[in-house]
Amino acid sequence: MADTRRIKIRECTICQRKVCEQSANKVLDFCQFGVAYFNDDGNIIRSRERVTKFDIAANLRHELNRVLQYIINQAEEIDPDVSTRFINLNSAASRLVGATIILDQFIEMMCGVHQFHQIHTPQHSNDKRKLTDIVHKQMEMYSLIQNTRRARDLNYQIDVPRTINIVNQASKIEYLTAIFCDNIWKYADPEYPVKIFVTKRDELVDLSFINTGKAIPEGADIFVEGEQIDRKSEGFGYGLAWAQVLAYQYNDDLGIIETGGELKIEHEESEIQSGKCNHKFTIRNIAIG
Amino acid sequence: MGKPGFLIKFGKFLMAKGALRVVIADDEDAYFNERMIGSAKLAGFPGIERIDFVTHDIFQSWLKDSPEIIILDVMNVVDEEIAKDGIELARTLKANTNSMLIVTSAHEQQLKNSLAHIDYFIENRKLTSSDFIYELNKIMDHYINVKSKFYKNVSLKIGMKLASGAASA
Repeated sequence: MADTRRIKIRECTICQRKVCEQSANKVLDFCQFGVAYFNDDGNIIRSRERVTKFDIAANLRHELNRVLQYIINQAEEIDPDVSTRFINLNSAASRLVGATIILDQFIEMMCGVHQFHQIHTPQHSNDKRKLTDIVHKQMEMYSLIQNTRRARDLNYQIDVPRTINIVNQASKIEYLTAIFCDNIWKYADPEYPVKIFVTKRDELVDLSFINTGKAIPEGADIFVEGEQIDRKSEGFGYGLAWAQVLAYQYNDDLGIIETGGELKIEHEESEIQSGKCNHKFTIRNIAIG
Repeated sequence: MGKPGFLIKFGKFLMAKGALRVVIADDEDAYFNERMIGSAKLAGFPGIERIDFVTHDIFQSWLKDSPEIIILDVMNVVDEEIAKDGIELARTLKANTNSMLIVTSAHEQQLKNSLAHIDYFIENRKLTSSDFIYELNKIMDHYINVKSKFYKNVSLKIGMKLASGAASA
């Protein structure tokens, strides 16, 4: 009996990069968009699920979006001045908006990069933001989640000039920032200060996040999906893999070839005492305007 | 965006005089809701109309007397005999009116490869009244800036001519 859950794809237009066409002969694999492919002596046979996770996620988000907007509308009933652009931790309404945005980000993460991040930012859109506003908002938003495993009352310093504007793909930069801010609240030791700063070079900036936390065991690759360093921690090994996907998609969407100037995520670790390290994550080569 | 600049103030002035209309078409009550429209009116944007569907009658009226700015949702916003969705409607209106066309969608994917005939797009971010007014300021600034370009260029040319005439005399 034929498998009705999957359909064959003759001409695949889902991505530009065509990892499937560069695959080794007689290899069966899946691309990041969930398409199964098999290289049969250069003939690429592809198939995907009839109803993909992407379809389910997209429709689910469509349903949830109006619920999230409804919550935000209700927050506005409490405080008419509340905004999604800034989070004021002293306002219950603003905290409610912040929590709603976190939910929205998780839903987008589940939907995957291919649903929400394929377009170039048009010249005129609301997808242009001040980097400092993005960083402040995300740090404040992720401080809302509190439990015994996360840091509380961190001493953090954000040194990002107001003159730095993200004019393209700001939503991806915001997601990347969200991941690193959330990670700081998850993994930073509150005994040590946290620093977030930029290094500017012509039309590019590097955004760095430095915090002190546990050392990463030798041989562990924190960017691999499902890699959990500490099973007691909040993370489940997806955030940094997601960050890599976002970076890949950022470069793909903007037509940036990987020759050194592309957006990339880097991690440096330096031991300060036994078992304790400074971790520096950098989003390198963010285009600014 | 700080305090509203001259262009935004001028846009508000035109709106108050009935010379600039903004129409928003969205089928979901939660988006661009009554509170947002009311707040925008209080903030000096009186000429905003909210509809939930573009019927034949509305479409025909737009062809005869188009609103200066039209904000369209993508899905379930227009009679399918006119256009299959908000993006196709924007394309038709772009070809037949002078309206500034803005598309808003919760799904960026819906906007992929469809931006050529869109003047501005409001990305999927959730909006409060304060955010909506912030967006309106940007939209107004952009609209007046584009529309006044012709007059700016003419004024500049006349000014240059007068200056060169005065210099040669």
